[in-house]
Parts: sequence; C-alpha cells; structure tokens
Amino acid sequence: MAVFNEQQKKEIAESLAVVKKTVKITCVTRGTDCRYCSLTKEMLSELAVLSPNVDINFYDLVEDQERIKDLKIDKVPAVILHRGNNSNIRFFGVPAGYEFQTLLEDIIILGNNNSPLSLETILEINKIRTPLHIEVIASPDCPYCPAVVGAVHKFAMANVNITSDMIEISEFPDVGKKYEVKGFPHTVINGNHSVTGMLPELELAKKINGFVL
Amino acid sequence: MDNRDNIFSFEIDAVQGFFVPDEAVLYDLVIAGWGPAAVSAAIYAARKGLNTAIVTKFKGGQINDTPVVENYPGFKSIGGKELTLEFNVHARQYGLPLLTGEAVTKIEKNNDIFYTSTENQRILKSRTVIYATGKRNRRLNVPGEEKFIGKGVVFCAICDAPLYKDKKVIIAGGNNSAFTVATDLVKIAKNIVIINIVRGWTADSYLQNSLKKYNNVEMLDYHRIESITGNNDFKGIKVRNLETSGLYDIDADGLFVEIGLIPNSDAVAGLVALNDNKEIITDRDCETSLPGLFAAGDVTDVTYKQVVIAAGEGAKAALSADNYLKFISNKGE
Ligand SMILES: Cc1cc2nc3c(=O)[nH]c(=O)nc-3n(C[C@H](O)[C@H](O)[C@H](O)COP(=O)(O)OP(=O)(O)OC[C@H]3O[C@@H](n4cnc5c(N)ncnc54)[C@H](O)[C@@H]3O)c2cc1C
Repeated sequence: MAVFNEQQKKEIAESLAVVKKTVKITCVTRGTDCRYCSLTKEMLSELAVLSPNVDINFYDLVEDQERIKDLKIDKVPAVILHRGNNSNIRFFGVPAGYEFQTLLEDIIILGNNNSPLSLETILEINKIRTPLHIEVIASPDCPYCPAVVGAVHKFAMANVNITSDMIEISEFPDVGKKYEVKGFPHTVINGNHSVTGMLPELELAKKINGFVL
Repeated sequence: MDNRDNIFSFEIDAVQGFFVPDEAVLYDLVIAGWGPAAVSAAIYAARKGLNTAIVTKFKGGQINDTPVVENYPGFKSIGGKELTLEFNVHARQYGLPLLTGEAVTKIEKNNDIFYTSTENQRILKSRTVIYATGKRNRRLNVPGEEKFIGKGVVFCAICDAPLYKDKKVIIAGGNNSAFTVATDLVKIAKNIVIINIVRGWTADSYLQNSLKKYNNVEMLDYHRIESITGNNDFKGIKVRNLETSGLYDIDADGLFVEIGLIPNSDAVAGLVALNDNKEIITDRDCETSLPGLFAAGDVTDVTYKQVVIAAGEGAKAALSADNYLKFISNKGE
C-alpha cells in the first residue's frame, strides 16, 4: 500500500518544485526488530520520485555496517540530510505527523542554499567553535515541536560544529526516560542541559550558548 | 506507537520559512499572526494585489489545539488541526512571504511607515499593519508555576496529555476548555481533579454530562490554587477551600492550566488604545486609534470570539487596509 495518496503526492511535488540543487539523504534501517523501518523506507522512496533533486541512499545498520560507520548511527530508522560532506542534520524515528513538514522544509532549504535564520541568530550560532550535540525529543502530534526541530536543523546547516537530531519519543521511549521528558518539545544539549517548550530561534541559540560557552 | 493512523499521517503544509520576508522591502501590508483572522486577511490582501508579508509566532491559531470545530460553514465537523491545514493550503497558493516561530515584539510608526520588530531581531517595513495575534492561555500567576512549566505544569494539553497515561492529574478551570481537556484525560489518566476558583462550572452542559459516567473524577469548585509544590520535581499543588479557608496539599503528576485567555496585545500597548481587558479597541471597519494600523479577531474588542467571526473581521481589516492605501496614495498625488 502506498504511503501517500494522490492528493498528498501532488502537494509534496508542488512543495518540492522549488528545490534547485540536489539534496542528498541517507536512510539507515534494520531488517529485523524495527517496527517503523519499512514505513520510513517506503515513505522516502515515494518522496524521491516526487522531486528530481532528492537523492536518497538506503543502508542497513547491520549489513552495511562498514560503509556507514562514519555516520555513527545508534538508532533506527535514521534519516540523515547531507550538506556537502556534512551529515549533521538527522531524524531518528519516522519523520511523520508534523515532523514530515520539517523534513520537507529541510530539503527545500538545503536545495536552495538559503538560510532563513535571521542575521542575529546566525551571528549567535556561529559563536560555537567546538562540537555540540542537540537532541529534540518530539512527538508527531505536537504542533510546536517542528518549530524547534526546524530551528536546530537550521543551526546545524549554519554551523558544522553542531549536530542536530529529532528523536521521536514513542519509537525511542528509553531516550524519554533517560532525559526525564515531561513535556514536548524537550531539547537536550550535549546530553546534560535541557530546555522545554517552543522558543524563538534567537532565544534558543542564546540559551544554548549560555550552557556551553 | 499503537495508533497507526497517527503515525501514517503526514502534514503537508505551506512551505514555512522558505519565502522569508525581505527586510529591505517596503511592504504595503504586514500581518501579525496566523490564526483565522490573519489567514483571511492575507487571502483578501493577496487578491487585492497588496504586497504583503506575514510574521507569526506559530502557524495556526487557537483552533489548532481544539479537537473539533462544528460551526464553521462548509465543514459540518472538522478537527481543529485539519481546519488549520485547510486554511494554510488555501493561503499557500498566493505565495506570500511568511516568518514563523517569531512573535512581533514591537511596532512603531514613523513618517507614515510602520516598523515591525520580531523576536529574532528582524525589522519589517510597511505602509499598513493588520494586528491579528489572538489570545493565549492565562497563567495562574502563583509561586512555582513558571519553574515547572513543561515539567508538570502543562499549557498545551494536546501536546503533553499522552505523557499522563495512568497518572494523577489536576485540571485548573471550569470552562469549556478545561472540560474538553478533562474529557480527553479521563480516558487515559488514573484519576483527575478539576478545580475552579469560583462557585459552579461554566462549561456547556453536554461537556459536563460527558464526565458523569466516569468514577475517577473529583470536582472542587470555589477552591483557589495557591502555589505549586515540589523542590526539584513537580509534586502537586497547595489549594485553599474558599468556603472554609482551609489550606491543603494535593499531590499529583501534572497540572493542566485552562483558566481562560488573555489578548496578545503587548507589542502594541502604548501605540493603540486598549480596553480594560487589554483588547485592542476597533471600530466597525477594524480601524484602531492609530491610522494605518488595523486589528482583527480575538485580540480586539469585537463582541464574540469565534473562528467565523475572526475570519470575517480579518477580511474586513484587509479591505480597510486596501482602502487606506488608496486614500494615502491619492493624497500624495
Ligand atoms: C479550546 C478552544 C475551543 C474553541 N472552539 C471553537 C469552536 O468550536 N468554534 C469557533 O468558532 N471558535 C472556537 N474557539 C475560538 C476560536 O478559536 C477563536 O475565536 C479564533 O481562533 C480567533 O482567531 P484569531 O485569528 O483572532 O486568533 P488566534 O486563533 O488566537 O490566532 C492568533 C495568531 O497570532 C499568533 N501570535 C500570537 N502572538 C503573536 C505575536 N506577538 N506576534 C505574531 N504572532 C502572534 C499566534 O501564533 C496565532 O497564529 C475555541 C477556542 C478555544 C481556546
């Protein structure tokens, strides 16, 4: 059964019509023990057909271990968007519900090389000179989560020191438990600082810098 | 992840954050907000050919958090999220530049030009503004509330309710919103306590009746929440029985606050006249006390607050802005 219906396909194709440059995406799944891996694969395969500029490679966490070792993937399904040689924009868990919108937007931004961040935010985010890991724990039904996932993905596009992950809570409940998540979106910085709720990008960037600089 | 319908839904919406407004352009119109009033204003403005940009905190209004809307013409019954998507998809065809995730913080007018500042420190320039920023949840304003927001104190029930499966929750409020949250939570939470500061309950009777069949609901009216308890972790509330003045603790896992709404008029306070409820005073053409600045929907003193009314007011504000622009350009010639 197809993931997208005809109307959805039309809307996705319309949205992606503005993608000018090839956007490379890696999808890592696992043959067994992964409830949403095949859905993620199917969804991305259908998506790739809807834009000539979306290039998706599929790998298996176990079989292709050697080829993807640089990506350091510890959870599947994983969807990684590349910017040049960088692979610091990631989704763990199927990017469904509201997060599907973030995936589309990421593709559009990467495919146009055009950062929608404000100048102030870019200046703030470029103060980070050492590796920084941002994890946003989200649920597909949370309308405010994409704003934060989108913002931290844009941070990662603006600064290669930053790796930004969306983690879908219901697929990775252990992550929720580890970070004692009590509300969405829940943003974790370098595994030990957290911010709950939706913040404007500049405030979020300043908060992150406040933790790590 | 048992709800396969949920996981199979893919929200395809207007392309947010791509067509970012240009800070160098002098727009005919800047619209603040993206609820029913703003969306409708944008559609009318685009069709009038106004060069329009939008700035909104979030792409959707209060209905986005509403389970169903059953009184908007053309839709017998539609989820709030779905109606928001219908609005977005409708407006998308006009390709208007839109900034989302950043609220307007200040508006100034100098030499007939409006300067709209945002949270991310952008400034947009325009000849007119439509202010349609709606309302937000009122806070309890009690000690501990701020500290535990997102850590036990919940303002977005639709976001966080699933985390309270088999837990004990308190709901503050006695109105339709509080009872709507209660009808959702009662099915998953272990038990719920609904607390209202005044005597009795103002929620529609069908909502009140829908709770009657459950035996895990406790209702306390004429009780005031005095503070949130807990040191590092949320523990519960201190509540006062206003009848007896007795103060006692209720321990719980979470507190959902649904005690009404306040207008998002802070960014224009001091610029335009507000009434005692901090709503923007408008005339029947959506004009405010400042020429060129129009307002529409729940942020204004319009008598009734409904989606269809907000949409109608938004349309009116756009037509008034168009008239105003014609008037000032005629004056200049
Ligand atoms: C629980 C609930 C159920 C409801 N059910 C119904 C119903 O069944 N039928 C019905 O007709 N009505 C219903 N209503 C009322 C209806 O939702 C409102 O009347 C309507 O949404 C008002 O539209 P609006 O565009 O004026 O404001 P809002 O819907 O509040 O939208 C305001 C917009 O402005 C944005 N914003 C806020 N502050 C700023 C800022 N500073 N800068 C920029 N943007 C900002 C917000 O993000 C949002 O996009 C319900 C309301 C609630 C709370």
